[in-house]
Parts: sequence; structure tokens; C-alpha cells
Amino acid sequence: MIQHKIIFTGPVGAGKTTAIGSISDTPPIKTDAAASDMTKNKKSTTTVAMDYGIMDIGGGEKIHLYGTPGQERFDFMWDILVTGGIGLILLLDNTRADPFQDMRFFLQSFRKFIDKTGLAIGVTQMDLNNRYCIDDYHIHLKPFNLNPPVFSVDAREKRDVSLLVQSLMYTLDPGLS
Amino acid sequence: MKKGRKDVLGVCVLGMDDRSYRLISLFLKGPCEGFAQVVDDDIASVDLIDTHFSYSEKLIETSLSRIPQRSVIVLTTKKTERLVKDNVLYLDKPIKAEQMMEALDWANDYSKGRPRPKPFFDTPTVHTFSPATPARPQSISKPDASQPAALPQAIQTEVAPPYLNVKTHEREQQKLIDLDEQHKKAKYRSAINIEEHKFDDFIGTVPDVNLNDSTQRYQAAYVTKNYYQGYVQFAYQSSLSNGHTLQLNCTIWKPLIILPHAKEIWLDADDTLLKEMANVWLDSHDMSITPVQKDSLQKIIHLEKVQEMNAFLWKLALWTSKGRYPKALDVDNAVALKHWPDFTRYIVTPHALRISGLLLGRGPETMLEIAVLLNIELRYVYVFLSATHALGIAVQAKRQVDTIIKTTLPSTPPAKKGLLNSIISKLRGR
Repeated sequence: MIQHKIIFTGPVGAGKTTAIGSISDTPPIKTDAAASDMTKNKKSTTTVAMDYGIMDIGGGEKIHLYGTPGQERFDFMWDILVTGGIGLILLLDNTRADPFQDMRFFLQSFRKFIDKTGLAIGVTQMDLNNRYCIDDYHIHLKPFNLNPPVFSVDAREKRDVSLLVQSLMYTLDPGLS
Repeated sequence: MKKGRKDVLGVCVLGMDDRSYRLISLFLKGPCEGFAQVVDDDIASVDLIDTHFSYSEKLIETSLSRIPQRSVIVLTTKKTERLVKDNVLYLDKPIKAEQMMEALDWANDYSKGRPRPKPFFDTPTVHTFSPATPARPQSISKPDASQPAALPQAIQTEVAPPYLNVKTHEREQQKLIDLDEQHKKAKYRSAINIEEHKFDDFIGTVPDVNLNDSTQRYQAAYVTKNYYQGYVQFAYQSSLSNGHTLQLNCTIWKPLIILPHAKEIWLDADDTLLKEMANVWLDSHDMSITPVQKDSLQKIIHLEKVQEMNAFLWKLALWTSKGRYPKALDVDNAVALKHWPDFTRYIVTPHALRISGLLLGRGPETMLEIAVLLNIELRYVYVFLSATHALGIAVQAKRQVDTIIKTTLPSTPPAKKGLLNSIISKLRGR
């Protein structure tokens, strides 16, 4: 049976776990551990394997929500995770020193998957640091010849995450109802 | 420490952007109990500089060389690169109100010719930049209306600005945090979705024209210049192009302050009033644009009234449009969308996401074609293009070739389409 997935990725602390939790029908299964590397400067625990949530869409069908671990040393898992994915949600943390470097890294890492499916980008923590605005992200996207939805997102807000995922669906097919 | 001074101590804030300038003003007024206030350079007793800004060292040098007897307080998180001078006091962030008041008191005494040992909290220093070559006096950047403040781009370090570093366990400092970015509730409010059945009530209607009748499409246009929307757009352009904080005045409406660096506006009016104002025909004699004085900036104490510039213009355009399109767009020619709007902070009109997906996935289309392709009412296309055109996101497709070369939308297999539709329904709570 095909497993339908939406993949959430992004750097440590961007809000992947929270975003999944805000639209999942079940409490997300977290695989957090005490942060012991550079991550500990950002938060006390971090995702070391992956996060997992479920959206029950009726008719016995489920959408599986997978969050990739943020640390680059786990990138070997990403190829496995994206198999069968509907599209990619990339969350970026606006308080990071260079969020555009993060964006470049993840776009390059997931480029094949993005080209086959779709992409929507959520920029988090804008209420903590607004030095970069959404237009700045559009500018940095140009070299990639990509024009995905880029939204300000509070990962705790279901409406924000919902709109982001909806936009991903409409990039795949604007004819959806 | 001398609390409750008879004369309020004058502080000159150097090199900070509008936001930090306001914040310092509020900090002195609130947590520091009015112990000091921000004043113009010529009547100040103390200079205040923050090393958060990349050119702060230059500002310190300039300050010292310009008025050598004036004391300087430097806000910093850095333990190194500190200048050893009798009249320079480093105040470690997070800033505490008590410490700030003590520092200001010391600085005032020094500036008035009553030098005394620095307060205990000035930590040992390492001197790195040498004043051996006297710095030439130069003009100092200040956040007033005639001179752009430090642009956000200047903030390149990972050091958090002072308002983020304020300790939260102190009541006053908590207040300081609340007054800043996180207090801008309107700015970070999540999107509102307007469903079709709520459109008339929320957006409004236009009498005497059937907006959904394509044969009446030429009557469905409106001229933005006749409305408040047009003046706001003009004031935005002026403010952004020269980086000046401007005030849009209207004889029958409240002043709108435009803060170009943070891309914010400030307006003391709620949306109900704005919606009414959006429909008023205005004469240019009713309107004026003036620079904003420092005093006015300091009056911006209600941060909850700060709004994101584009989000404000977006809703203003929706309420001016009421389902019409701006006449600047040719209804018979294709329109293009440069990129997706930041929907999570805007009012999302019916089918707005679908229209965005169509225009960005398929390429430019005329308004009528969009309505046909998506099988939706024309007014939903018009109103969406009114808002996106106001923000400069929607433009007329200039070249003939734009309307010819279209990428074919992937033909989604029915099973997958059903799946994606189910996801949409689930997310919308249908």
C-alpha cells in the first residue's frame, strides 16, 4: 500500500516538530533527545531521528507527516524519508545568522524531490527578528529558478501551517477545489 | 543613585534605527521612571551608543572627539574591544533599569564636571582600537525624518538586539520586551480566511454593476487615485525610495505614519473605520505628506497599532475594490503574478490560493480566463488582483509572448486529485 507523505524539513529550531503537531490528528511521535552539540545553544532538546504525525483525511486514508532531523549529519536519512512524498515543506528560522545559507543547503539537498513534486517555504521566528522580510527570500530564490509559496509562519498556529500546506497542494494542481 | 531628579537628564541616542530609538525612549520613560529622556544632540548631557550596530566604534570615536567632556554610555554584549577612557562607560546587556539609571547618573556627573569613579558594573576591558589618530568630527547618523536610520542590512551579527537580551525575570524588563516586536499583535496576526458566503459582508458590494457579468467588465474598474488607497501607495513609494519616515495626513482622517526601514505603518484606527475610509472619494487638497518629527515618533507608544506595511495596504485595497479591479490593469490583457503573496499575514479572499497557483503554474492569463479556468465568480479574481496589484505583485503581462508561451499544467490523475482535494478539505475543516 502506498504511504502518502508530506515532508517537513529545515534547520534545527525552525519549528518542524511544532508545525507537524499543529496539524496532526494525533500527538506527534517525537524522537527528541537532549541536545549535546551546537544545537544546545538553540534549544534543550532536538530531533535526532524524525518526527511523525498523521492527518486522517477520511475514507480510511491517512497522510503521514514526516519531519527530518535538522542536523546535517542525519542527511543520509532524507532520501529514505522522501520516497513516496507528495511535496516538501521547508521551514527556515529568521533568527539564524544566515537563513539564506540554510535555504540554499536544503534546496540543493532536496532538489530532485522538489522538481518531481512541489515546495512551500515557511519562515518562522519573524516576530523575534524581522531583519529579513519575505521579499528577501524571494530574491534569494531566483538563482534556483524556483517560485514557491513563501509565507511568514508561526509554527504553533494551525492556520499558518494549514495555509502553507494548502499552498503546496495548489502548486501541484490549482484546479483543486 | 539619584532618583526623582528635578531636571530630566538629556540623552542623545546615536546610530540606532527607528525601532531601537523608540525602544530606548520607552525604556527611559517606563522602566527607568522618566529618569532621563532622549533629546537632540545639542542639549544632551550623555551620548548613548549600542555596539549591536556595526559602525558603533566609529560613533564612539566621533562622540569623544566632538565633545570631549561629554560622557558616553556604550551598550554591549562584548567583553572585548572596549575602549579605556574616563568618560566612557560600558553597560553590559541585558540591560537592567537600575543599572541604566546608575550609569546615566554617573555620566551626567561627569559631563557636568563632577567626575567620580565608574559604577561597579563596568567590567574590566581590553582596548583594541586606538584613538592615536584623532578621529575627525563628522556628522552622526540619528533617526530623524531627514536622515535614514541604520538599515536592517547593517545588522549582520548574531548578537541579539537589546530588546531580545533583556532579562525576563524583572518586571520592568518584561514590559520592555512586551513593548517591542512581540507586542505588535496586529503585525503578527494570522491570516483571516474569507469564505464565499461572507464576502459581501466583509469586503462589501458595489451597486449598479454586476461584477460577475463579463459584458459589464469595463464598469467593474476603479481608479485607485480617487481613494485613500492611491495616496497610501504614493506615500509608501516616497518613503521607501528615500528611506524617510513619512506621515500621510488627511483633513478627514487620522495620520498614517510610514516606517520604511521596518516596513511598518502606524495608525490609530481600527479596521471598521478603515473600511469606511476606503470608500471615500478624496480630493488631493485633502491630503498631504510631511516628514515625521522625532517627537511624533516618540508618541508611537501603542505598539499594538503597528502593522506590517503590505498587510495594511492589502486589506485597504480589498475594501476599496469591493470586488472591482484597478483600472491600471487592462481587463482584456493577461496579468502575471511575480510570486505568491505572504498569505499567512493577509486577508485571504475566496480562491486566492487557487488563482496564485494558476498564475504561477501556468503563466499570465486574463481575468476572464482565470475565472473560466477555475470556474469561479469574476469578482473573486478582480478583488485578488486589486490587492496583489497594490503590492506590486500582480502586473500586466507586457509581452505578447507572455500570453502565448504557457507551461501546461500537469494533468493530475483522478486518484491523486481526490487525495489532494481530501487534504485541502481536511485542512479547511470541511
